[in-house]
Amino acid sequence: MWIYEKKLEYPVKVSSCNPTLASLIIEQFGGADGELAAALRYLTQVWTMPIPQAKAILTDIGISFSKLLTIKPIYFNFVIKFTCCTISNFYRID
Amino acid sequence: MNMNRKDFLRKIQELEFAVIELNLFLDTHPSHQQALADYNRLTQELMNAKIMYERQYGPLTNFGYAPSQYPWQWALTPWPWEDDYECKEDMACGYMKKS
Repeated sequence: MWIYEKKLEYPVKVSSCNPTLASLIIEQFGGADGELAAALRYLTQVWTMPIPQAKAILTDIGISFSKLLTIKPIYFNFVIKFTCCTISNFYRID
Repeated sequence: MNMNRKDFLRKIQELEFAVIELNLFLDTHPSHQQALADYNRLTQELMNAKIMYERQYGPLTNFGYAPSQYPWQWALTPWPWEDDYECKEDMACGYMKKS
C-alpha cells in the first residue's frame, strides 16, 4: 500500500531563518487540523462512499495529503538546519 | 539525454505534477476521453523518465520496485531532505528570498 519514493513531489528551498513560520508549519503538519489528521480522515471516510467517483477522489486526496507530510517536515528541517536555530530556541518563541 | 541529476529530477517532478492533476480530474470524470489520452501519454513519458533516471542516478524506490547497482544504492544516494533545490523564477520559494 505504501511506496517510498526517494524524492519530493515538489521542490522545496528555504533560504531564511523564521522560527515563527516553523512553528506554524509544525502545527499544520501534526496539529488538530493538520495534514496528518486530514489524510487519515480522508482515507477512513472513503470506506463509506457510495459511488466509484467519490471513492476514487477521496482515496487520491488522502494520498496527496500524506505526500504533503513528506514536504513539510523537510521544509521545517531546513528552517532549523540552515539557520542555527536550536530546537529550544524554537519552542521559546510564540 | 544529457541532463544533470537535479534537472532530471525536476523534469520528473513536472511530469508527475501533470499526471496527478489529470488523475484527480479523471476520478470524477472517468469517461473524459481527451483527459484519459493525455494521462496515458504523460504516464508513459513519466515511466520512461523514471527508468532512465534510476539507471543513471540510483533507485527512487525500494522493496522490489527497482533494481540497484553495486554497492546498494538505496543507502548511498541523497535523501529528499538532503537535496538543496535550486530556486527558479517560477517556483513558490521566490518570495522567501532575502531582498
